[in-house]
Amino acid sequence: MMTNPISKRSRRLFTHFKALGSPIRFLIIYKMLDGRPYTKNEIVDYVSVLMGLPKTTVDRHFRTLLKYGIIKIAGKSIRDGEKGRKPLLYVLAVDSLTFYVNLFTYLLEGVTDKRMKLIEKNLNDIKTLLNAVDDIKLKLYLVGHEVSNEVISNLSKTLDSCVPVFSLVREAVRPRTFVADCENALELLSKTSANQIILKKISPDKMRELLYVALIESNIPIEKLGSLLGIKDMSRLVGYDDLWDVIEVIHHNDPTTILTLLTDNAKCTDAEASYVINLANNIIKYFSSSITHHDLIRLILTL
Amino acid sequence: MRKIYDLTAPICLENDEVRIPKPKSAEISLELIGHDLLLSGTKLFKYLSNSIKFEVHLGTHIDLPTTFAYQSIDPFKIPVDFFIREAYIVHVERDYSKKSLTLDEVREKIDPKEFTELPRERRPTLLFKTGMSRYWCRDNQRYMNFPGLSKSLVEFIAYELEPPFIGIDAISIDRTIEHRSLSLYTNIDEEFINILRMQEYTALLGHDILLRKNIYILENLDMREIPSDVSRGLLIALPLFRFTSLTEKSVLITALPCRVIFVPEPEGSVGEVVRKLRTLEKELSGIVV
Repeated sequence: MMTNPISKRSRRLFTHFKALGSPIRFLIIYKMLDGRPYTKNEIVDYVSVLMGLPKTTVDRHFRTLLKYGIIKIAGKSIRDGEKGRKPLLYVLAVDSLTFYVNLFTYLLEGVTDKRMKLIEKNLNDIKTLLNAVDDIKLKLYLVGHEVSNEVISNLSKTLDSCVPVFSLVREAVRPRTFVADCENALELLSKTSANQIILKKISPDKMRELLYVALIESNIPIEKLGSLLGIKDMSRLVGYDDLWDVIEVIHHNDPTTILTLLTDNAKCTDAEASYVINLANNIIKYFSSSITHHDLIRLILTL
Repeated sequence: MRKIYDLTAPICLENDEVRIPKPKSAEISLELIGHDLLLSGTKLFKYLSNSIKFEVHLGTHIDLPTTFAYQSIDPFKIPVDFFIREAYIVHVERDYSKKSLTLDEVREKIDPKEFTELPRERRPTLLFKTGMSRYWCRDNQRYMNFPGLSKSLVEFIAYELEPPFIGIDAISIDRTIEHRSLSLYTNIDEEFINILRMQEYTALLGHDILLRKNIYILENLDMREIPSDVSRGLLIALPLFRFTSLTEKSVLITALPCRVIFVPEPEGSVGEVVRKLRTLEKELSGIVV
């Protein structure tokens, strides 16, 4: 049986680079993985020819890898005796902790730089980052004092910038904070009514259910809900089914119209506030349980 | 170099006898064994060894659900990283000769979000420092006289925090028979106490509540050296033995004797980064779980 020449750890690192959406950097590392020292020119020539890219482009990616210590000046090239670069595995062996922290910083910066496009493409990369958090935390506990102040400072700054971004995504995927007051509820309903991506996810049946559940929870009279929804003739409204029949006729079950009317008409009196808060929170619950991560991330990027 | 604390309660020896706090019925012994006698009629051996025989629930150990024959998790299959995780230390040192540890005493000291915002497998462990370990091997009778954790506290841990396991520097999380007999029946003769002791394990309600929820219990920690200002760190509680079954038939292993070390959270900028990583971990977990 043939053995795989690329170690499991290297394959995992490749995943990181692939996840960053940069086949150029991926290819640089791949080329250098054989353990031989290379000059920068050798690498730039190889990758630019293979990918049909200008040398300056490849050079920029090469310098990025160099900046984060992913490749280092490590010896002379066999070919022409210039300063060469040694590959990833060599760097890992020399100073694995610094390298790993640098790589982690690099990955996180990639995330924020790309405005979450990485996550949008593939949530599995979040799991990879989570594993990296475990590794880094464990290493910092055990040998953190051996990491240079500069590396720690860089990691700290990167965390400061990326945590709020992830927090935003997390809040959309698994909301911890529900709407507590009428103004925020109206704002959420307003933003929802203005967002076609999210509205497509609310079917007429779901809209009917959401309105009904909020009615039960807030215990407001059916006539009050009718007036919020712009229904003038209340005489035919005996039960919720009657209300929905009217909505079907005059609003064609359109969630945009329904939510717009609600946000325009609700005045945040006790009863109305209770209704819109319940409705907003039920919408949050519905989003978090039924809409894909992909949709949600697109949503928060547009809000 | 940072201080690393050994939280393993030592096996105390008095000549050839092991003297650790334990119920009378539990056995532990250490013997010196000679192999390959060199000369008959002498005690000259080619090499020496030791034999140690003990119940796995003695000394520092983790109680498993199998103690009560709950077999929801096969202890053979627990991954090693289960035993390596962050720990929160709750300092509750006081005189435990009478009153058990109550929820009111710890509620202010525990932030439930530190547990609930993480998926259960990522949650930290919760360690209680009662101060009882100062009696370990020094006053075994007093060490055994522990009133336990109140039911409301145990239920708070089981239903609101749900850590993978908890730890304590005491003989048990439940009121021991010694405590009951000594505190309630101080004038009763030893024979009667022995009769009560026969019922010893019928009242392990706290164990029952936690183990049913697959929350393991790490007992008999030695936390004397943990300073009062240290409340977070990395706990490495590795079982001394690794079991595996060669047959289909399952074997009940009810507890895992452990060697436990504790690394306090780093200070300064490294500690700050660890805290930020913890926040990031919560956010990432919230996305993928």
